[in-house]
Amino acid sequence: MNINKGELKKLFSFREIYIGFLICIGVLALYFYSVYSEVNYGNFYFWKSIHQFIPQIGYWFIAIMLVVGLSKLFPYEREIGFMDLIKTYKNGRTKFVYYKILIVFLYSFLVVTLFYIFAVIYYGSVYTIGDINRLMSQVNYTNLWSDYLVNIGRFTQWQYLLYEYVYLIFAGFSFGLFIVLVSLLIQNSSWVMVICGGLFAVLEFFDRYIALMDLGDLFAYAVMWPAHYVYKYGYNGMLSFQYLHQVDLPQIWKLIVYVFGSIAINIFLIIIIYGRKPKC
Amino acid sequence: MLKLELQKLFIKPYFICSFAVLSLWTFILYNTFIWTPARILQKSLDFWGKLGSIALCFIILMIVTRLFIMDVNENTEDVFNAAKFGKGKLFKIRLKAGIIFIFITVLLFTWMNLIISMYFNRISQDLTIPLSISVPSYYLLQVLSVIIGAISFIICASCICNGFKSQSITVIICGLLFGISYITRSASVNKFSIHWFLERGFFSYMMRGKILADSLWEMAFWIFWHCMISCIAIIAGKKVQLRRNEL
Repeated sequence: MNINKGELKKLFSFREIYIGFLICIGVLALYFYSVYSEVNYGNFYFWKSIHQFIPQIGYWFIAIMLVVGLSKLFPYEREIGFMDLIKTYKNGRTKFVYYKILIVFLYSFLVVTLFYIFAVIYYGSVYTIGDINRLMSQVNYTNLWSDYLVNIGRFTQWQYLLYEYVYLIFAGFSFGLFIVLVSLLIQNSSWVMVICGGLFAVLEFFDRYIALMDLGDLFAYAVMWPAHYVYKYGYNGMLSFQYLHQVDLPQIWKLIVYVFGSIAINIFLIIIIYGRKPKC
Repeated sequence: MLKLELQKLFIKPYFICSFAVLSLWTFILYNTFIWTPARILQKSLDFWGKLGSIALCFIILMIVTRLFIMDVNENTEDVFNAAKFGKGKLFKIRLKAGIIFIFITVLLFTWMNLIISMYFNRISQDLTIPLSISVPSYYLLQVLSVIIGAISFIICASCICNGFKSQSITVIICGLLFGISYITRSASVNKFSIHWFLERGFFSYMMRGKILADSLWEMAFWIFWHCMISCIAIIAGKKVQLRRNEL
């Protein structure tokens, strides 16, 4: 069997993915139920909801699915005692790591696509779809979201959706590589899951709830200030579009450098850590 | 044998986690002492609200459930399967060890929280507590609620772990259901809505030291619900084991 297909099959044999997916769908259905409105506001609200879905809540599900699926990707061979066989492959270890990275990309693509499909189906059933070629500057988003989407008026609705979608695939890929990097260092899927998921959740928790509490000035400046920047420029910010909407087309290179830079650094570190181990 | 199982639980990550939690809590109380000293005791009542309950969940999911798949990890599963009554007895002993372990942990955290808050408490305090009872009674009620919640959570998590034979699946199921209580905002929760049910129905509300019900009927409903979840977990775990010819 082609090693690529084999790796993909191995990934989808993890029960964790299906269980995580079922729980995510349950919580997502609950979210849709709680925000459901019977009044049909027309196509403007369809696009508004679609553009807002990922930054509001969708990125949590994407992060959960990435953590659940990818934390076992590298430790799996070690956990089932398969590592010695991997070492006997001709160029096995090098090929192996590249295929795993490819699997991370495919998985990220699949997860992002799946959640966008759910959002389109749900919002399509509640609001009317249309006006996809209308420029975003003409629909006056700024009145609704203050400074949100303020600089991207040159995009039409579908172009901005595509822009978000492609960006999110690469952001998810970067986060997936980070999970793989942690799993290479720890080699225990449960711990990887708790560390990566916990880090993501704790930063969310800090930014959403604790930052609003009255904890005294010293605590606020000593912990909240760095935590806020780690949140904003870390994976929480990357997946929740913290700076996507601030980038105008002439400045899009900043975003590309940021996302692809983090991907390159992660791949570089993965290769270094993986290559550090003794080869046969 | 119980002593041996207990020894397996008092491992390095447990001490690191406990030390980290208590250090962070000391730091938070110290800051409260510097900036708002009149709120020290009020703050100490909030220990189980976030930090304490999250630490307890982490300890249960990463340290206690590890005990139930130790055989799988160390490839000694077949030995236990071959023993007459070995599997069931071992499970009960491990469950007992887990319950004793978490009881000790809750008491340790409670005492440390009391000692730290008393150390920083220099002035008389005005406390506002949700029930019309004395502060020590409320504190005891809170600890009792945490202990009951943690024991129910251990029973449920151990049965899931025993059934699926995977710690990561246990972490996903129990961790996500536990986390729902923190995401659901109680201010916007209406009684008998789905949100209300999700917020209180999966052990975490009790482990946060909150009083589960306002009336006796409500309390009876929640006792029935939590017993039902635990029974379903135990029966499902046994059925799965029977299907695998382990019992």
